[in-house]
Amino acid sequence: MAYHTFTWLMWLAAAAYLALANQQPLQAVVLILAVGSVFTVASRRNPSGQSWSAFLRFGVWAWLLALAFNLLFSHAGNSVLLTLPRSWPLIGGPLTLEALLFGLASGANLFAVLLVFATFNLVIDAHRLLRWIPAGLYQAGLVISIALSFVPQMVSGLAEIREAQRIRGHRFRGLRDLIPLFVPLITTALERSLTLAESIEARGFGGVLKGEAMTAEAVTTNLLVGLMALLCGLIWQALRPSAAWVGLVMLACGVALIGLGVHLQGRGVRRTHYRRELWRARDTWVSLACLAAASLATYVRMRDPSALAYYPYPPFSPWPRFTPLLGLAALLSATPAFLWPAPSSRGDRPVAPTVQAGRRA
Amino acid sequence: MNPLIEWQGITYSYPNSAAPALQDVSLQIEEGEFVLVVGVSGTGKSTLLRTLNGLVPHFSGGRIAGRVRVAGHDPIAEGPHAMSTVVGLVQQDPEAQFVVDTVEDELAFGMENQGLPQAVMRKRVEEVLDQLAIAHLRQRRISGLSAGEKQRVAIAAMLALQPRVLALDEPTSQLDPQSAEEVLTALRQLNHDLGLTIVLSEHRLERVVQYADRMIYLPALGAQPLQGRPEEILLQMPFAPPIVKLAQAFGWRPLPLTIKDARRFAAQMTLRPGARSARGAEGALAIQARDVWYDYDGSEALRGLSLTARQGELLALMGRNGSGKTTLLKHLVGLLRPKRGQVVVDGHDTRQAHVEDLIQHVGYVPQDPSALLFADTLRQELQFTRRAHGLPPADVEPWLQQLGLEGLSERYPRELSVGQKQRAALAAILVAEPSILLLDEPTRGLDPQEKQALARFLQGQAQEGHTVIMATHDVELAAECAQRVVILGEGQVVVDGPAREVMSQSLVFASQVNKLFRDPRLLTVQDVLEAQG
Repeated sequence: MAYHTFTWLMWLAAAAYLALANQQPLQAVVLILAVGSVFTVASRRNPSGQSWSAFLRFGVWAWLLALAFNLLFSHAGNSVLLTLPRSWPLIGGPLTLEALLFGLASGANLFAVLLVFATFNLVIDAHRLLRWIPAGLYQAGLVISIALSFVPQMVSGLAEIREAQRIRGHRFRGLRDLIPLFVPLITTALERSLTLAESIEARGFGGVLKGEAMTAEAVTTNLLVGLMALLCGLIWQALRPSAAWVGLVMLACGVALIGLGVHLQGRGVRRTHYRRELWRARDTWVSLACLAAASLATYVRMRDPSALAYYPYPPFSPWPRFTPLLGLAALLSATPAFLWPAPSSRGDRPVAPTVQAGRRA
Repeated sequence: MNPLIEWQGITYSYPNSAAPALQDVSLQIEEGEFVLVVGVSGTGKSTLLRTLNGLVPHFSGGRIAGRVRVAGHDPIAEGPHAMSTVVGLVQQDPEAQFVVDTVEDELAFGMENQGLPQAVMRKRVEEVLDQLAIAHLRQRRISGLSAGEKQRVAIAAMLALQPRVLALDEPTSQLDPQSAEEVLTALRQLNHDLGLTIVLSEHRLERVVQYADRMIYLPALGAQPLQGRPEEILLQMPFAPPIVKLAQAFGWRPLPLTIKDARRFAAQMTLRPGARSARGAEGALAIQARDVWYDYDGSEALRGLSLTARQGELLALMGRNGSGKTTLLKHLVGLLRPKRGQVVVDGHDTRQAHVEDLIQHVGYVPQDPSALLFADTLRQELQFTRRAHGLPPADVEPWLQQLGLEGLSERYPRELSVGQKQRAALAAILVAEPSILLLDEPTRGLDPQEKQALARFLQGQAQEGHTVIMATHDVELAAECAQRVVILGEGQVVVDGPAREVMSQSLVFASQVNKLFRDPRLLTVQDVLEAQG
């Protein structure tokens, strides 16, 4: 892919922050356009873009649904557009401009969030992300990545089974008819996962342990004590808010102990990485842009929190506001689309290191 | 010199199973040997291979006694994790053992686990890519590869760890003849050029027997295995590749294992093959596909394909993986409808008819029988199909007997052996009494005897006036029983004709006997025996 994983993580943080913090519809639209341009460029380079387009169609439907629901069910506001007979259940009453605007705005915000995550998923695959997980957490990460790749397998497996049962005369009439579909699906999935587990074990997964048995015990003790400290801290916070600092100290100790445990476990596992990603000039630029976008949004938020909030119902004005600084922040999240390298470049992938010597003759 | 691998009095039973899968097995394999493990299905071939890296008993559980030594290691004590650098095991279903999604990363996965330095990994990845001729696939996603490519990636991933032993469990069972040849050639090269010890289990002897230095034959569950040179072992086995059968019938010695060796003997024979009538069928037209086009989201699978089949005809559909065989079969049962063109099955146009109506005439057995089987017992499985077809309940025993499944009606279908499962799926379709029977790769995982039985059964079906169409990679099976062979390529019919003509004019699809005599009248051992008079 075109950028370093860290660059994309920065981008995700900035864009998601903008999408989640903002409620103003005009700013949301600018953000949608900016992120949409990244999505378009990315999906042109990536064949799996098709499936995420379907996800976005779902997003559009969600938007329309939010609009319809709000318009029909919220009867608050002064600017009445139309009045439905009072006798109609739930939807009877005035339909207001405020409700329409609020529906549009919340739909736009929802869509912006969906778009940010769809784009991130399109540009980064789970396996690439996994390489950056600390060694101590690698096993948990692998479990997640396998679970992720199982979902599409299950979906295609289900389609196959449905076909096979259909030509056997199976028709779906009631819940009992699920058995011929789900028994083969689940059993096949379990059989496959056992094979995979065997294969992973037989290929030495879990790394070679350098340390002695003591390390494993130390890790377990560390994690256990850390979790207990966290728990005690939380309980203390809830029960004795007057002496909050005691709880805070406990929480800090807990976090530190868990961190140490993960670090120790990571040291116990010897594992290397095959890929090395390159940090290029364009990564620096995109990261700076993302940093700037997040800083701008934070700055505006501290100066004038109402610039991000939106509530059209009385006594507030129904019309959305637009803060140019926030618009600029939203536009900055489009930088990956403009700095994207030309398609032919081979640098689109993380490269493996070059061999110093000993290429096979 | 100590043998590289040694089993000493290994007795092993799976949990919850009374009979041991391996009984007092003692075998030895020298370094650098290419060893072929054969036997009918369910006699413990996979179990034997899995003791090499400790998956048995570490993963499977159960009780084990005896001793296994592999290159000085003890897999039973050390376990699969520690054995990962000593033994590379490629399991039956390559797809289920891939961990990551791109070829290069998959090759590196095992090495990353070993904590090898980056430079070493890089070098080894280059080497295995070259050794298995998959360098052009390095950046591809594994899900987009063909079956043969996947198999070679799975082998390469094992090789990257530089094991002393490479063990493979039926590596070619899902491959078309060309891809199987590619995989086997790669293995032979590894054995020849690097001296890598290879232990391989396989059902289709005619494909591999010429590569093997030694054979291990497991005659029955729990019986003492035989071990020796292929020439010795083959003569003691109840099934053998066609060349060996001929050699046995005519007393050719030394036993030839390749076409090249056998031709010396064949050239001295004088045969008078009778002008055999083509095994043609005269029945009414059962299937008619005219100019069928189909694509999956733009990637064309069928491109103007036309095909007819008559009642009482047994037709073999062959061709590379991805040539459109399965897509065509799905058209014939109405699961897919042609985007252009027409398919008429028993007088019904599939574009107008419902699948529910078509299945009254057509039965379709999919490639993977586990997609069908769900019931608690085999009997319920068969009764479900009858109920779903709106047929009156009937005693299912005759169908089970026909397929050699008698006595299994109360067993849990998914626990049966691969071959039995395959036949159980077939039985579950046959109870609906279809007049047209479609089979997708019916011989996957079947041992030679089961395959023989299946061939006879399908011939019987055709003689009763049913139309049978099977998609298969198995050249010998098609030579044995098909009347007509249709070879697909890129979604079109490349060749369509009587089995005798098609299979004798092809480099890839000719049977062993045909390659030996180069006579279109001779396809099977039976043909030669009859010509001899």
